[in-house]
Amino acid sequence: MKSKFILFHIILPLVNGGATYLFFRNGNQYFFRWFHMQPSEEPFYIPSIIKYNLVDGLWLYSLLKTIEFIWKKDSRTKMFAWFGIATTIAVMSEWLQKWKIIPGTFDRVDVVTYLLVLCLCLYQNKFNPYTLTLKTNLQ
Amino acid sequence: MKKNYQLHFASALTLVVFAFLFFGSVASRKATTPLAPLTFDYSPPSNALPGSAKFTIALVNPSYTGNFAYASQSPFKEFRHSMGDDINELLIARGFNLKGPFETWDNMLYSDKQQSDVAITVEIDMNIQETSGGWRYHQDVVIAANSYNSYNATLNFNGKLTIVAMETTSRQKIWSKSVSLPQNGVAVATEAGYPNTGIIPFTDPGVYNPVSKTLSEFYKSTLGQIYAYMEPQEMLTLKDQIIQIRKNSTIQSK
Repeated sequence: MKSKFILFHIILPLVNGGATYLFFRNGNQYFFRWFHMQPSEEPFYIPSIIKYNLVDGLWLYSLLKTIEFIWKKDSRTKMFAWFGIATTIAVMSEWLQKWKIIPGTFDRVDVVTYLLVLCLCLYQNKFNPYTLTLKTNLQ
Repeated sequence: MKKNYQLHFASALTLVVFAFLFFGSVASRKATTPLAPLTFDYSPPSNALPGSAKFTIALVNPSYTGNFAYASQSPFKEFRHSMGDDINELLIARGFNLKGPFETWDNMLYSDKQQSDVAITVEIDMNIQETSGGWRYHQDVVIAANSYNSYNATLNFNGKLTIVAMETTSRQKIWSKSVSLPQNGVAVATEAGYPNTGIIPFTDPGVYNPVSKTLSEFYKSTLGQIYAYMEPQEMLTLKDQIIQIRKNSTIQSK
């Protein structure tokens, strides 16, 4: 079960993002320079929302799932606190790019993607008002 | 308590590892401003009747003198090409008959030489001097591969354009005028990161755009002066000289 979780929720999203960089990005990413790789020609067209925003969303998803893996059997409050820290850093990184403090290009769709991923991870951990109300009623 | 400490440490470590991955995904410093479209265009102020000057000119396209390192690079390549086209237009507007324009003197056929009174060539002598600034290395102390070079300088453009009229068969210079390029300091700063090659990165919009703006200002003023110099009356005074040179060369060849 543990290994399935790591494979499907942590490794696979990262591999997916890495593959998108390898096959669909223009080679300006540091990723290529670190590994002395040449970007390949785009094999076929994919929408920019997948090429640029989904990859970032998968990165945060994988990060939040790693935090979930660390905290799941312990404190949910602390897990949610780390979710908040990670998402805040991700969102802040977009603004740091806008202010030219770190390299990259500001993209508001990335910010929306990060928030959607946070909502998804919170929901998967039953942090939604509907489930909480339902549970309370059942009790 | 100890376990909690370990979990916090593991979470912080995860953040660091994922931050590293994030930096791999962001694009390296690249230019975002588009290259400004070139505006090397000149319209003669007035148009004489075609052929009214009764003088035929073989036009050889302008060329850069010496070893101008950026001759084949944009915007200098377009500067030269557009100048050839506009001088062509300018001479027609002055009422001259025209042969060419020829890319080089060697492209001119024997019949073109025979049918032309003179050949006009324009030599562009352009110098670019870096008066301040230059390349600067920006080191990323965390990730060495993220280090880059930027170019931030003031470039001084100077030089002159020489219009030379030559007798077509002997290639003897019979008339020449110079137009000085106005000395201009242009501040340039690259947007993207580059390896330090020692040459000015004219492909970067931070360099390309201010330089092409300065060149288009040169262009308008110099073409205006060339128009003023190319007076049909003055060219007609060369006719006697041309006849004399051709006579002499015929006698010599006999």
